[in-house]
Amino acid sequence: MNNVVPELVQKFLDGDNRAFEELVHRFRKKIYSVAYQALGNHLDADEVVQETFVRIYNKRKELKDVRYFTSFIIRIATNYSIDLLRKKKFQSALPDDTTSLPGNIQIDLSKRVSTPDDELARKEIMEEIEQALAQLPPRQRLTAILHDIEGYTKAEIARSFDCPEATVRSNLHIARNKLKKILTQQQTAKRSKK
Amino acid sequence: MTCFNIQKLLHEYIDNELDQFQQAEIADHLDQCSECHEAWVELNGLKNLLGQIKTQQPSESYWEETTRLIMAKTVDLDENIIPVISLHEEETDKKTAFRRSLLSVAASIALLLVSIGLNSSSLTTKFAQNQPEALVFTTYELNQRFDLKSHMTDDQLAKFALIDNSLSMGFPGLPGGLIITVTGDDIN
Repeated sequence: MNNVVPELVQKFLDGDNRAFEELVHRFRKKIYSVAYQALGNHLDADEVVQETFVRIYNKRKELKDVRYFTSFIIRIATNYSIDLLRKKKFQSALPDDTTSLPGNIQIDLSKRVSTPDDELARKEIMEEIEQALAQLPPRQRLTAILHDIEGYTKAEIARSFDCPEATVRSNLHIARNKLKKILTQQQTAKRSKK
Repeated sequence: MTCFNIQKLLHEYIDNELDQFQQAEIADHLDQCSECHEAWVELNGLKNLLGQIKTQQPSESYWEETTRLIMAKTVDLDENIIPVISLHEEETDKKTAFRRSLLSVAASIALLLVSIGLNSSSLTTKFAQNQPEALVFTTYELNQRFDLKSHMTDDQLAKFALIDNSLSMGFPGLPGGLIITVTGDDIN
């Protein structure tokens, strides 16, 4: 099937089960990716993928506009991911105060990635970032994942979270600032060990 | 713009969400201000790094199996499901015929109750007062509502349950005992 997504969705809503299977094929890896970044392990990501499509199938009548299927599926996947995160108490104990950033301690991330030959260093940075992401509260974490990692627009994220774009923007800015703060702290801790 | 204002707009700047004039103004400022430039380098570097994160996808065999599971939990389940008769739909579709049958069932029960010594008038009064709309009851529910046990011997209860179960056989697919629907109007 070479249909565009809205056409496929319409066929699915009209009862064409092959269209549903095609949607599973098209979106399964995207959902897995978001869930894996949010939850940090394969088993939970697998659960999110399966449950998301089961819910999509069962809640298909709730989809009012076929153009917004991406937001619809992301909403279901992120809501389920957030539920799992809360159940597993992955939530960060990071203080809400982000104004007390240690201004004199800075890391020059761009300089660090300007050495592409040093694959080990790059891998370390990536691990640090993933650890830092894991410390964010669920909604901020998912906003950063969807926008900066997966490349969804703020409008798509706003529709998925059923909130104004301004809220997405605010969550994203807070998430990035917290990530900077956590990475700075990690960097400081590393330096003090040496 | 001041450094404070520039740094407030840095997120929008790196996301290319500002108008051309503001984008240019900030770019000029960053060329001249080392502090703001440093803040931009950090933020832009972070965004670039996040953009480089790629999830390692599972194997194709995993996806085949997962897709099969998803289809089994959705489409396949729908197609293989054993149809269950819905009394509510039955009543809607064949309202008159169904009501007639209900009246006959209700009458049978009333007769039964009379025959086993239970005061049927008190039963109908309770229906009309407490549940003016559709009632659904089973032997168990009747017992709960009207404390049949206190009015009936074990033998009588057994007979009642037997009739209850035999009536249910007319509705294949319904689990458990017969669910009888009557309305206040039917009873009155």
